[in-house]
Amino acid sequence: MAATVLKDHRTKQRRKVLLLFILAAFAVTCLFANVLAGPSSISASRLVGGLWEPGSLSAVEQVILFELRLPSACLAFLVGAALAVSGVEIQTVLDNPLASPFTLGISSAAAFGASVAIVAGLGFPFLPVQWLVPGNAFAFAMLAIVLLQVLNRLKGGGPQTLVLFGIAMVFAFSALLSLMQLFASAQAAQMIVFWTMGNVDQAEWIEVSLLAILIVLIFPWSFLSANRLTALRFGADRAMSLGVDVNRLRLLAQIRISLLTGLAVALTGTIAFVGLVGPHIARMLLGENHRLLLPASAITGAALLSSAAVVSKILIPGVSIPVGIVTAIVGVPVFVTVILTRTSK
Amino acid sequence: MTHPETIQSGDADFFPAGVGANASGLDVKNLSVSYKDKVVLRDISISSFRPGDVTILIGPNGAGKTTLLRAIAGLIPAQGSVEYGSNALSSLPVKARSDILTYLPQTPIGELEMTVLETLIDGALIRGSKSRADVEQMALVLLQKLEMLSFALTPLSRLSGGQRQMAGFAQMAMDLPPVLLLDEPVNALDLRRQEQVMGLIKDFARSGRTVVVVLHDLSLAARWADRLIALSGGEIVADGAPHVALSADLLRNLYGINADIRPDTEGILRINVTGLAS
Repeated sequence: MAATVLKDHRTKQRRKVLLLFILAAFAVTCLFANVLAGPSSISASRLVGGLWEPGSLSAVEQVILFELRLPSACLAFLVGAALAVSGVEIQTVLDNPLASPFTLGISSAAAFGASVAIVAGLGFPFLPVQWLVPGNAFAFAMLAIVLLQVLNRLKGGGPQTLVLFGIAMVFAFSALLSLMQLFASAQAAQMIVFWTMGNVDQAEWIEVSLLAILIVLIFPWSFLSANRLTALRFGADRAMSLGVDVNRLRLLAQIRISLLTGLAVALTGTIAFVGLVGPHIARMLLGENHRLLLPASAITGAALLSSAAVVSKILIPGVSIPVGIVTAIVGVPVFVTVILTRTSK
Repeated sequence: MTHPETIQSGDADFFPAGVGANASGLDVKNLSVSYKDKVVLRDISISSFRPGDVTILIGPNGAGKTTLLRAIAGLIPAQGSVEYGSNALSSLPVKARSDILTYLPQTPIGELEMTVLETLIDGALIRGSKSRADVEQMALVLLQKLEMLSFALTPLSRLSGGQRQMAGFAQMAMDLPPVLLLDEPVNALDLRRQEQVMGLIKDFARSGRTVVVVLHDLSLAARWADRLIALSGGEIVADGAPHVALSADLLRNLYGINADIRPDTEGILRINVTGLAS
């Protein structure tokens, strides 16, 4: 019997790796679909041809493909991956399936930071003016996470305390954001609202590159911690007995999450649910071993946000809905389905 | 490596006696723990938990049993010291400490999307001292020994509390350091499984390890303990071999119950609770 069990176990593991590759292929398909979808009526075959041979396109079509569609599709792909990996790390570190990258108030702080730049024009000196808003958003996200660490250190608290402080942070910055909107001009208030909806339409290659560099730096760091994160799922006490320095792991994971989420939110605004649902889908498909779960979450998140971006472009012809609204609307039923399938076993 | 098909139950040699002759004892010196102004452990000193012994901690709810184990394991801040050989445990980094001791909490492992076999394999690979092939074989031997093969490929999320407790115990047993601290390892188990787990715990001790177990079941404690330590209100109130430490007076003081205690024909203490002490 033991031999059969081992054989079945190995078959299962191989299937999971295969599934990971299938997921990856699906995510890349979503990326291409996102490039092809858009308001202007260029045929798909012309665009695909243009990817290989830019010369076959007219100058306008080249701008649409290389300056609008591609950067925006890449940004959606990368932001989805960044949010979902942050999501799975925060869920593991806080031992809380309802946690998301925004649980600790990172997005609320970023939104407030953005509003300060939009309303008062305050931000970092020497920064080009188009970077004022994302720069401020990122700075406030970092500020929030440092504040959170200080508070939690004072209390000497564990993950539960951290969640509570995080919620306090969300409320505090949301209130401050409302205050900014109250004093803002009508135009500025509208800009704030648009910013908080989250969208990837006005992506530029420099933004895509920044996030790509951060991901190249942080994902391998995350993946190197995969075994320790898996150990944490057995409980903090067991993880310590397996030789994992839990406090250090928690702190380093939070640094990774803050940087990734902070930059993602600064570039796109608040995009809900990808960081919550992505990890859940990945976990359902591939289980809790983080060596598979981390890459699976990245892939799922990228696929989710890419397909949400496609939906946002084709749902109402001629209107591009901010993708953050789509993820919120689509995210709820997906999340409910995930919960239902989890409990029905 | 023993092939899983050939393993016999009661095969104590399966667990390497690598800690054997030169194993150190564990010394607890003046250990105190308080939360805010509430003292949970008061100046506990236990000279030499001996390798080879199963020491069982008993005492009423809130006596400080779990706190004592966790303080020894270095999971909560405590005053005083815990020494293993020439090492003060609190001065060691987490990894070095985990090479000396392991702690199994009383709450079973969570309802994870992970099979029992994966739980064992991944846990052992995290410690990283053995190859995947070795770890796989060892997990199968252990699961066979503990009669868990029938649910080896079931995710923890679909198992009962008792089965998850078995999974946690088996994971702990995959890579045994010289000191084991087990907090109520059998509280969710049926009688057969209690016997299996206690038998294995005894095997661990025989292989030269120091084993400290918290138990609520006094009959089990009396049968399996080489040494019994009773805690009450954060202090040690009895310490010795079961037939020395256990008495009707002790149980009246500890739990407020009346009980008959007498050895049976094999010398094992039989405890018969007759009612609440007035």
